[in-house]
Formats: sequence, C-alpha cells, structure tokens
Amino acid sequence: MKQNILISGTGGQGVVSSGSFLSAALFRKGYEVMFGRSYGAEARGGSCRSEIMVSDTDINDLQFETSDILLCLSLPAFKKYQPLAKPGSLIIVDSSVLERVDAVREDVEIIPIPARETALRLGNQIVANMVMLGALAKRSDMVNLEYLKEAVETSMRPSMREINFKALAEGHGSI
Amino acid sequence: MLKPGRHLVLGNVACAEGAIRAGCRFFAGYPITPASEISHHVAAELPKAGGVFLQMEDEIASIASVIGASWAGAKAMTATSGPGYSLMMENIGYAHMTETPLVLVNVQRSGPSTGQSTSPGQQDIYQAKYGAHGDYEVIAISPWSVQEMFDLTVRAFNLAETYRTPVMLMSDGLIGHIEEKLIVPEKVEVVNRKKSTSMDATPWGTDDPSGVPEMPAFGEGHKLLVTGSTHRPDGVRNFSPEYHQMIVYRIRDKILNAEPQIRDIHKVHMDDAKVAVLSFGASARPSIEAVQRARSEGIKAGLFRPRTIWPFPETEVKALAEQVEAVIVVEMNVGKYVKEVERAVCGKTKVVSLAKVGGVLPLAREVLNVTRREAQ
Repeated sequence: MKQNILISGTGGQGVVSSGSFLSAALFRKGYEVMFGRSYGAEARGGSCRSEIMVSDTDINDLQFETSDILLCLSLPAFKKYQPLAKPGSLIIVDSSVLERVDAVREDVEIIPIPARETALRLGNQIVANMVMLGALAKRSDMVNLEYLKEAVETSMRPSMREINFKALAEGHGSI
Repeated sequence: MLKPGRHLVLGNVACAEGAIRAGCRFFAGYPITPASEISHHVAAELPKAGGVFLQMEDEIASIASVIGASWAGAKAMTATSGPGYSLMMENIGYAHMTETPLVLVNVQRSGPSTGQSTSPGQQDIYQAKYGAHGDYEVIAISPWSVQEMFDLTVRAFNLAETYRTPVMLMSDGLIGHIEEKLIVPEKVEVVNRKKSTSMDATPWGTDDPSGVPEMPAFGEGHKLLVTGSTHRPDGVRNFSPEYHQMIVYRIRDKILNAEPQIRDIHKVHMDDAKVAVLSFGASARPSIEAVQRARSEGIKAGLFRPRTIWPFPETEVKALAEQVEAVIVVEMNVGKYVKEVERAVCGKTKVVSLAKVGGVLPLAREVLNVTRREAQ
C-alpha cells in the first residue's frame, strides 16, 4: 500500500514542520517514507507544501504528481493545490478557508474542519497544523492517532506536549 | 553525528554525515540553496570530530581554502550549487593542475544564472567535466538517493585520495532536499592519500604505473612549491612543451587508465534487456519505476545507471550498444549525457533522448511510454 499526503499552506503555518513530524512518526513505525518540501524563494508568506509518500514497500518514483489526501491551511494553497487531488480522493481544509472559496471540485470529498479556530481556542494558533493531522489520522489507512501521540511524546519539549495532544484529539474528533 | 542504524534524514545531512565518517576534517563554504544544509550540519558536527568549519566570504575563497587545507594534510570539502560552482571554476582548474585531493559537492539547481533557484536540475554535468580551462579528466559521481548521498560521499573522498584529484559529487536539489531512509553502517571503508616517503620526493612526478605521485604536506619539512603554472616533477615552474605535455597527459591518464576501477554502474534487469533506460541521479528514480512497470507488461527493459558519470563508462556503453535495440537516455537538462552516449554507441543502436528542463523530474509514465514505443 502507498499513500501520497500533501500538506499545504502559507510559509509560517508549520507546513514543513508538520510534514517533518508526520514523516518521522510514520518512519518510526517501520514504513518507507519520502518527505519532500517545496517552497518559493521567500521563506515566509509564500505558498509552501510538504509532500509525504508513505509505503510498505520501497519508494522508487519521487515525483509527487497527485495526492490521496490533501490538507489545506490557507486559501492560496487551496486554490493552488486543489487540482493535484486524485479524483475520488480526500481534501481536508480549514473551515475558514473553505468559506472564502468560490469553486470547489465535485469529484473529490472535501471535509472542512475548524483547525485555526480550534487552535486559537486552545491558546496558540501554531497548533492548527496538528488539528489537521488529528483529522488526517481519522481518515488515513496508514496514519494512526496513537503514532502521532507517541511522536509528540518523544519529539516535543514537555511544555508543548499538552497543547499538541489536545490539538490532535480535537482534530480527530472533528470528523 | 547519527548513530549506526536506520534514520529518516535529508539528503544533504546524509552527505555531511558521510563526509565526516570518510575523514573530512576541513570544510569551507558559502550558503546557497539547495546546498546549505550540508554546511549547517557540518558546522554543527565537524568541530566535535576535531575538524574545522569555516564560512567564507564567497565561493572563490571557499574552494581556495579547501585547496590550502588539503595541502596542509587534511581531507577537505566544500558544497555549493550552480552560481557558486561557476565562481569556483578557476580554482578547480588550479586543483587539477596541482593534483589536490578534495571533494566538491554541487547540489544542482535549475539554471542558467539564478534560474529556478529552489528547483533541481542536472544541467551542470558538462561543467563538471569541462568547466575549468585547459585539459584534465574529472571524476564525477551522481547519487540517486539519500543513502547514496552518504555512501557516495564516502567514495568521493576515497577516490580523491586514491587518485590525488578533485572529485565532484553531482547531486541535485531533489536528492539534497528529500528525507528518506538512511542506514548508517557501523564502519565505513576509508582510504588515505599516499604520503611522501622521503624528503626528496617529487610531488608532481612518479614512476608508479598509476601515475599518482606521493603527496607531501606543508609543515612536514619538505621544500614544497605548489603552483598552477606548468612545473617540473619537483614543482619548479618550467614552461617547456615537454614538461607541459608530461603533466597534462599524466593527470589525464591517471584517471582514464583507472576507469575500470573507478567505474560504478548500477544495473537492474539488464541481463536480457532489449531496451535500456540509461539515467543517473534523481532522474533514475522515475526511470527504475518505468522499467519495473515495463517488465510487468512483459517488455524486456532494463536500467543502466552510472553512479560515476565521469570518466564516461566508454566500454560499458559500447557493450550496451551490442546488446540492446534502443538506449533511452533520461536526464534533467536539454539533453547532454545523451551526446556522450551517441558518440560511444557510434550508430550501432538507436539512441533516444528523454530530456526535461523546468526544475521537474521526467515522469515515470513518460519514460514508460517511450520504453513501450521502442520495444515494439
């Protein structure tokens, strides 16, 4: 089995860090992982994305053509990356982004979740990306909430663990 | 430093880890996308291994200080990308003429000029071979994975030390910037340069059939002259045609004569292949995918992947021409390596170019489509 997961947003929203976090969590579970990131010449403010290929066998091809699951944290990213979603695949998008979208594809499943709102309620908007990962874990066959919790436990400093656990749980419960 | 075992790391980090394990103890560089993480990791880890990291004012100073460090006896390296590589060219010629072992990593991005600064390319492969003025032969290596960023960096140092020559690790912005599995071995095989055995050594002349002279270092008591001008075996400048011919043919032949030992070709399904997909570096990844899909369709396709792109694997490619009905050359440039393949094949089999610019990989299905067509 192989799954292509694309996390997209604007520079500064934790797109690359959540990609890195997710990749490491999957890798620790024994999967083959390819984690690529793409960004413009600017670090902050431009569209950026994390590409994660996860597979139980060797990964040959590196070109990330289409996504099985697309996560979108910003409007420019939604507009830019919506066309990469495979027909019949899943897009999880921040609710506040979806409200501002004029045209959505009919051939994919789009699930809005209040990632930014939830993160603000928890006290730090930086964990909106973790709310998205919690939601992803609910719908992905390969990403599991327990892996992510373990990764928080092992890779984050103690002061950040509680809020990240909550963000993951809220995201997981939002679908 | 990473512990032996399985890790998920960036290609550039794997390169830095390989370098330190190969014995690199001096690194000088100037930041540039997509090579900077090599500097970042070396800066953090090399001092702990007793080495020196220097951020220089530019790429010219970086390669110059790497050459100096090598003559002081250290295994030395730098890392850059296209624009920095261009700046280094004059001193690369100097390193060839003075037979200075060093490793230069070019994490290629899409040029010319600033180009697509954050996108990968394979456009500098001729620059590796011909970029500096004058006549010389180069060893250039092309890794296709994070694992090979580690393994082939180690080999790059070993080749540089064995043949007393600059070695180019021609990576690209894709392999440098992805994270995938790296298995760090318990131990790596390390080769060290032949040091001068006497105070009368001739650092630029040898009777050894390898053509590789022993190398003294500054600070060890030798009267040592290092010059980019044409020189006698003892290093004294002499512009006579005889000395120039002697040195130029020797620095060429020490590499060409060793091609069978330097050569490193990864072959998959080549035994009974009728169509060969010849590719290297990142573009070999969709190529192997295409070959495997072709095999599942019953097409006798194989992958022929030089890990050492220079010196050109002349005899192997000529043999390939006798075996297959078509060679498809897949690369991320306007079609460069294909010209060398055409020259070597000499019309004996069909050569097809699948070359792509734009900072994107050729797609597996594009390679597969051409493979299907050529198999008919």
